Amino acid sequence: MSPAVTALVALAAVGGFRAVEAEAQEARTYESEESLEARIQTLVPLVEEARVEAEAAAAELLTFTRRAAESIVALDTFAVGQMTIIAPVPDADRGRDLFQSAWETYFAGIESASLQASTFTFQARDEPVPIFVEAETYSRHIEIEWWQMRSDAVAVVASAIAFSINRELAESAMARWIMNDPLVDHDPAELYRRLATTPSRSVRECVAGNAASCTTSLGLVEGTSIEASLAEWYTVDERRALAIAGGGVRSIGGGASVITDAAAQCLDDADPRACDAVLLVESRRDLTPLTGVVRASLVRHALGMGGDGAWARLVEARNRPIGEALEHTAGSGLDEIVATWREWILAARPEVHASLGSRSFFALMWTVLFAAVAMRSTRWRLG
Amino acid sequence: MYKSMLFLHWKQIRLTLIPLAMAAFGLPLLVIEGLGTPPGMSASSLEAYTFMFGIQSWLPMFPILAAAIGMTLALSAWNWDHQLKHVYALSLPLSRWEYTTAKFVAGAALALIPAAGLWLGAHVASASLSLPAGLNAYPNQLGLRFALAVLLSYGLFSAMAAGTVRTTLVVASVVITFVVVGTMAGEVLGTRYVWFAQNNLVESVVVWLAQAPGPFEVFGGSWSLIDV
Repeated sequence: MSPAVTALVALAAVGGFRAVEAEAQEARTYESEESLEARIQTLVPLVEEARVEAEAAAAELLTFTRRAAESIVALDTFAVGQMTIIAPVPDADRGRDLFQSAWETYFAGIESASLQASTFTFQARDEPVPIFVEAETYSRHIEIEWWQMRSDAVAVVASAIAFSINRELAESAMARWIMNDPLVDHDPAELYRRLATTPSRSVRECVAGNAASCTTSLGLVEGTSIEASLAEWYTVDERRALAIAGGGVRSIGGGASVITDAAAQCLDDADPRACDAVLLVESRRDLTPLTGVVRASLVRHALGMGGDGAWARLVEARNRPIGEALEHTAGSGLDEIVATWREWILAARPEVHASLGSRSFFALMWTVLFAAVAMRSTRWRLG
Repeated sequence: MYKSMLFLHWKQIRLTLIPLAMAAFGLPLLVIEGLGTPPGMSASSLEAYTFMFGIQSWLPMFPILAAAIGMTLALSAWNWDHQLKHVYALSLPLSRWEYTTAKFVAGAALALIPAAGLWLGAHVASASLSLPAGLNAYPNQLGLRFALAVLLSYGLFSAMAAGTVRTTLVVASVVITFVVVGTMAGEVLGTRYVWFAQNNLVESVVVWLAQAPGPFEVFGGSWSLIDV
């Protein structure tokens, strides 16, 4: 065999060996994936076992910490209405009274699933003790000062209950409309102040006697363009003031030339439409005059009108158009709901200094009484 | 006799009363500082919010100032009696009630000086700005409320100052003891008796005192110079 042939045979042999080795390598890789999958499968029960063990450990820790807390102060669990409350034994009577009062005053008749699933912890002490609730349970912690006045404490409890109830509306159109404000009873005098100081033409008309303007101011008129609504809600001056106060004018940079022109025109007071453009483009807030707490008070009013089952109807209609949801809740037309709500607020116009006459009488009477007390003196008995 | 009492009291308190009257005059001006627009300029209705929230923090200063003025007047009215061991008063050909009435009326007349200061200050403050739509100024009502509060405070502290130091200490001790013991007793008894858990005795008394027909009703309520 010539050397050239020998070299060719040797090359062929080396090439054949490498091909066989690559095939064997591929087979080894295939086998390792299979074995890996098999090994993963064997791990699944172990993972499950570890999860169960972790849960058991967490439960044990919870029991331990709860017992530790209970060794500091004994806890009492009681129910008021649909609510479950955990409180230190010394605070339990006060808690029961406050929850009972808040429930009867503000929430009687409300059948709330989220409330049933909630647990409240309550304590009234200088140094609160740890109270543990299962992680899966929605809980709200209420702490009041031991010296706090009862009416204030009831309001704190009512607010906590309201937030818990509001969960049932979460992520709904209604929740967004009321801006997640709690559906507690609102002070109509405070609402009157809000209405009276809201810088809006339509709100002033609402206060002056036009109930339809209240509906407009609440943003309850369907099918109106935002431009048309702006003109109904605010005067030209108010829109200009809103545009400037809202930061639209200041935040406009050179990159947004259209807005810059509109802002300049708005500032120059030359074109009211320019201010609308600034408001519509720059404002990131709801431009409706009456928002948040005022809207929540209207929903609360509708609940009151609806009576039994009103809450369930509100939850049922929470994603419908707001006007429709309110009508469904109250069992009355929207015009009637808004008109009675308006009357309720206007009737509570703050007295400011109105009762100064009677105050004057009592103040003078007590002043004279105090002066009379000063008339007596042991030093003058001899005289 | 009344004129003598008035002159004596004025001499005793003028160096204190004049700064207090100036403070009463300046307080309404402090309340509105930085708010609103000058008269003649259009007031943006957006500022109604600023007004409502801007003045809130100042409002407790009005009853506090009224109480302080009343107390100062009362203590100064009886100061020289205590210093002279009541010899001067007992040497006068007057009955106790005549003497006390003359002294009380003289002090009440002096109380009108800071009250008038506040009333004037409230008017100046109201006139110095244009109010946004929806808001009104109440300078007369605020002035009247302030005058009543000063008089009431003067009457209360007069009654205490007219007595001996021992009497004043006894009254103050009774009040403090009632608040402390009443609160603690309510707390302890509340764990045993539902009634005490539901009713706070101290709170009930405080509420009665602060609401009509209680004596301190004038100190509560609205002290707003500007409101809806």
